[in-house]
Amino acid sequence: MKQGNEIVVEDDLHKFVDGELGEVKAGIVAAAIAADESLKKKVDEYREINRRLREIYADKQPGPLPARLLIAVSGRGGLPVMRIAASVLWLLIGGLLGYALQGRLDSNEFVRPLPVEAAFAHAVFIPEVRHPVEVNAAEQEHLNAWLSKRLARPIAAPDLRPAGYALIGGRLLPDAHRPAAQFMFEDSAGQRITLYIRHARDARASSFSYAESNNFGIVYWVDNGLAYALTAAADKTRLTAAAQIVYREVNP
Amino acid sequence: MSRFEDQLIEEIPSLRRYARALCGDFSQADDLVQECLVRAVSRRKLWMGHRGMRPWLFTILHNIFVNSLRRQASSPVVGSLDGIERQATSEQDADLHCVVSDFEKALRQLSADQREVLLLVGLEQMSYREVSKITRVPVGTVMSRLSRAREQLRQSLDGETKLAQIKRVK
Repeated sequence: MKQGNEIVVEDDLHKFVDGELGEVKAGIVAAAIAADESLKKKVDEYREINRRLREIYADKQPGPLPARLLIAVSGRGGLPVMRIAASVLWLLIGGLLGYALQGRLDSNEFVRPLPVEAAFAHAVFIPEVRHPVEVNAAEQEHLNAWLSKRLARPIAAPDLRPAGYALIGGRLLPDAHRPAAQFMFEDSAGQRITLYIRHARDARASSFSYAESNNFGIVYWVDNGLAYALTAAADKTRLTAAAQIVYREVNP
Repeated sequence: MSRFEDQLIEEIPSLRRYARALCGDFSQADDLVQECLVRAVSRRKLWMGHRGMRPWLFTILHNIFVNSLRRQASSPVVGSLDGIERQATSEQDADLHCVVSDFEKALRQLSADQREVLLLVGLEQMSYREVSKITRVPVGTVMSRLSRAREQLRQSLDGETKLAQIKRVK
C-alpha cells in the first residue's frame, strides 16, 4: 500500500472512514483507495457496517420513553435496595388483594381490604420477642378498658383457650381514620394468632370470609359495626373454629 | 425542571439506542439506562457542565455495563418472561429479516469490548479520543478493538454476498 512516499496502513482506512484524519492525510488515503480495488472494497465494507448499525438501531426507537426512566431522572428512583424492597411490598399487597377480592366484592371493606390490614399487622408484630404486645395478659382488665375507650366500643379479649390459644396481650393500632386493636394469642407450640378489630366501613353484618397470603390464613367478618380478622399460619379449619369462638363471645 | 434534568432527558434516546445495541434486548437495555440515570442524578454535583453531558453519561453507562458483565460471569442467569417472549418474536421474524439477523448475530458474537468500541464509533459517531476516555483504554487499544470488530463483521457481510450470488445463479 504505497502512495508516493506515504505508506497507507490498515489503521488509516479506519481513520479515513471515521473522519479521524487531517485534510492532507485524508487526501493521500483517498488517492490510495482510488488506486487499489482491495482497499476500496474494505472501506466500502466498513462504511456498510456503520450504515447497518444505524439502520438497525438508530431509526427504530422502541416507542415512547418508559415511565421508569423519567422517574429515575426525577430523582425518585431511589437506591436499588429500596426499589427492591418497595416492589416486594407491592407484590405482597397485590397477592393479598387478589385473595381478598376472591371473597366478597360487594362490600366497602375492599376500599382498604380488611384482610390486608390484618395480615400486615399480624406480620409486623408476631416476630416480636420482647414487645409483641403493648399491654400483656396479666393486665387484661386494663387492656380491655383501654381499647374499649379508644375504639369507643366495648372490646374484650376473647378466651381462645378452647381452641388451644392463650392470650399474650394486645395493642392499639392506627386504622385509616380511627384507632384499631389487636389481640395476640399463642398456642403451646409457640404459634401465634392475632385478632384484629376496627370499625367497619360498611356496617352490614357479614358471614365469615377466608383469605390467604403466602404464609397466613385470615378469617374475617363484620358484626355489629365492627370488623374482625383472625390471622395465623394455621389451617383454615382451626382458624374458623377459633373465629367461631370469638363470634360466640361477642354474641352470647 | 432544571437544565440538568432537561439535558438528561435529551440524552435518553441515544443512551437507549446504544444500550440496546450493546445488549440486544430492550428490557435489559432499559435496566442499564435506568441505573445509569439514577447514578447520574445522585452524582449531579460531580457533573461538570463544561465537560458535556453525553460523554459523562456514556462513561457511567460503560461502568455499569462492565460491572454487570462481571456479575453475570459469577452468577447464574435469571431469565425474564420478557426476554423469552422477545426471543420467540425475533425467531418468528427471522425469515423476514434474514439479512439483518445474520449481521446482528455476528455483532452478538463480538467480545463485549469490541462491540462497545464498534458501537460508540459506528453508531454513536464518537471520536476515538472520546471512546478512549469513556472506556478508559488508550487510543491504540480502541483502534485495535475497532479493527478486529470490523474484520469479523466484514466476514458476515461476505457470507451474505456469497449467498446472494448463489441465489442469483439459480
